[in-house]
Amino acid sequence: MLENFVVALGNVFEPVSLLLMVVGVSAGIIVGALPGLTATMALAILVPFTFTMPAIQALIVLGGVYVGAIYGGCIAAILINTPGTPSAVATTFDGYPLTKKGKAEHALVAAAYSSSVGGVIGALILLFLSPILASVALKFGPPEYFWLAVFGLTIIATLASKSIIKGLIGGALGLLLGTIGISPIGGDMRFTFGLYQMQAGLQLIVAMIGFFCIPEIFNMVERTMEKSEIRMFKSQKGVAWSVIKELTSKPMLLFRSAIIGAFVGIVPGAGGNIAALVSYNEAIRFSKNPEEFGKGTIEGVAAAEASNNSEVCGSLVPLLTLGIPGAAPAAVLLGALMLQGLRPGPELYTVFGEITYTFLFSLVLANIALFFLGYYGSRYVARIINISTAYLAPIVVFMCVIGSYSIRNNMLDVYIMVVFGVIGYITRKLGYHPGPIVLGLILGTIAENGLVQSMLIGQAQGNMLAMFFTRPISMVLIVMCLISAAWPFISDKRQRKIEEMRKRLEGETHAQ
Amino acid sequence: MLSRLTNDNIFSVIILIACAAAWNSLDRVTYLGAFFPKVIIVILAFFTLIQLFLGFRNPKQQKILDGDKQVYMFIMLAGIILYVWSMTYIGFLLSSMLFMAVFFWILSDERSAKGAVKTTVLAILVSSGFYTLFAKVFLVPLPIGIFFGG
Repeated sequence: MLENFVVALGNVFEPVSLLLMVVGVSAGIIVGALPGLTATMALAILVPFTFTMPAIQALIVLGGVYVGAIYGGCIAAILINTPGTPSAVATTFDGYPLTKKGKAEHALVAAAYSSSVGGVIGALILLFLSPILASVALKFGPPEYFWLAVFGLTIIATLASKSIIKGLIGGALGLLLGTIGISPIGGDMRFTFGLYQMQAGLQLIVAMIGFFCIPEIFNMVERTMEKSEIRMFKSQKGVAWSVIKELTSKPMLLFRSAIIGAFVGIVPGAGGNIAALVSYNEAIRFSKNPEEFGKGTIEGVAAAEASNNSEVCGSLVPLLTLGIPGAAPAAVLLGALMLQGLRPGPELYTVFGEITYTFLFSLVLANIALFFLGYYGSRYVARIINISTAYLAPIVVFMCVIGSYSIRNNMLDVYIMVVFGVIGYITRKLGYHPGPIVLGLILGTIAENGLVQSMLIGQAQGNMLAMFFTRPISMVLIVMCLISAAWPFISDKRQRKIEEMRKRLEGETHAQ
Repeated sequence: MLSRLTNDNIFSVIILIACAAAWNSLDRVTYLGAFFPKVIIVILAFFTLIQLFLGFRNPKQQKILDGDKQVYMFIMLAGIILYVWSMTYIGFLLSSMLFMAVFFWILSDERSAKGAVKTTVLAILVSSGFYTLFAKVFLVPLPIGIFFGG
């Protein structure tokens, strides 16, 4: 491990690596700042640019894009009250009021600084926690992987959709789509419609471009008549230093938010928006001036931004160790890893340790670079927000087409991308979030391998049930599955009780 | 009865039909190869039936198409289909130029002759820039089109 650390440090400080990191972060900030273009989209449309690069360089660029895109969302959130990415929802609460007060620069500096600090803490957690988790994953056999996939699905299906049933249907649809192609055990052809191109199954990136990008383009075009009011700002002397000084005097705010972000990120399905909202809520609870929140306070911006950037690295913990993405953009990174011939799990930290640790160190550096690029670049990026949908939408379509084609140089992938895009648009309108579908697609292979291999081993040992239900790690995972499946019902019941109590109290107050 | 024919319920019925077709297509697959997809089909059908039951009990119309705003969406969808289809015949570069020039113009506020020239020049620059990057730098063999000997 130490050897990998040293080599990785050398790799990450190479001029090419640093240059690619800066390019990645900058590209991410620009795409993230454009309302309607999410971090998932940014990664999905930029993955094709990294195909021909060596794995280390490709991952450095994509890591930079992920980090930059999540931060970039705050620029539109602060300047036009429209989150550039869903992760920046909580940033609008105080960011835009600060802009209205003429303190846009204060908000942008607070966002850049706290994103950077939060991101570095998250990256360090990833750097030190993921090898430990990966070593635990060494103890996993087929039944554990099966239960792990089920656990991932129970969380995703319940978190990513307003309707639990629709989330579960989406997850199952994704699992079924994941079975297209040659079966991993037995080698049978399934659902290929006689097309040889389908034998290798669906390309993850193609599916994700379809499900995440095309519906967004349609939404963007639908909103084409809507115009936002862009508030420009002028840089003032001393603002940056005063904001940094203020935030440095509140280390617990940033530390707490970063920890919340990282741990929310580790939970599959709970994305940056949830991390930022939880962290914002906690910042209000711990603040000496909670009444200031929502009216334009730097603390509010810092809490949201430190948390959502820390979530980036948190979402990579289950991805790199177990192959389960913590958030949708991480799912795209999984596709990119697979395209580079890397399979998540313990091997990433041993056989491919040099690549993995270089990637992890690059995330620490990318988050440091983020502060400078974010702060100095935000005034220029603010102008990019003005780009009309008329130009943006056709260019994004073009990027989606070229991206899905260039993965396998196959026109069928482009057709599949368009079909998935239309399905994604319709299902979104019907309340089916694409998250569970894509996660089902990813977890399908893990679940199938785990299930069928466990059955075969169980049959050979003469007790199939024991194979699934008696192993200690499996038991822990089963309990986690049950808790996560029951959680939405428990939380719904609790919420209703609180509502009822609140209404009763209000009634009593009125009566008095 | 017609009031219960919501988009949600129609979608649920489509999923159930797809489940039946998928189950049927697994007839020629070995036990091990078919086991997991069959389990998933049963689970999918089960949840879909619950959704259908809920949809029939409490029908709520979820609009997919929502008036004027959708016009641009349909134009865009038709454009994407035409773009992808034409790529096989006239090649990636030409179809991309045409797609972008047309859509820059359709979606923009400035629909004058001057605007058309501006959007065409922009479309040529963007598509040829990316074409050069992918075809010459990344060495991706982009479709050259049947009409051009592809």
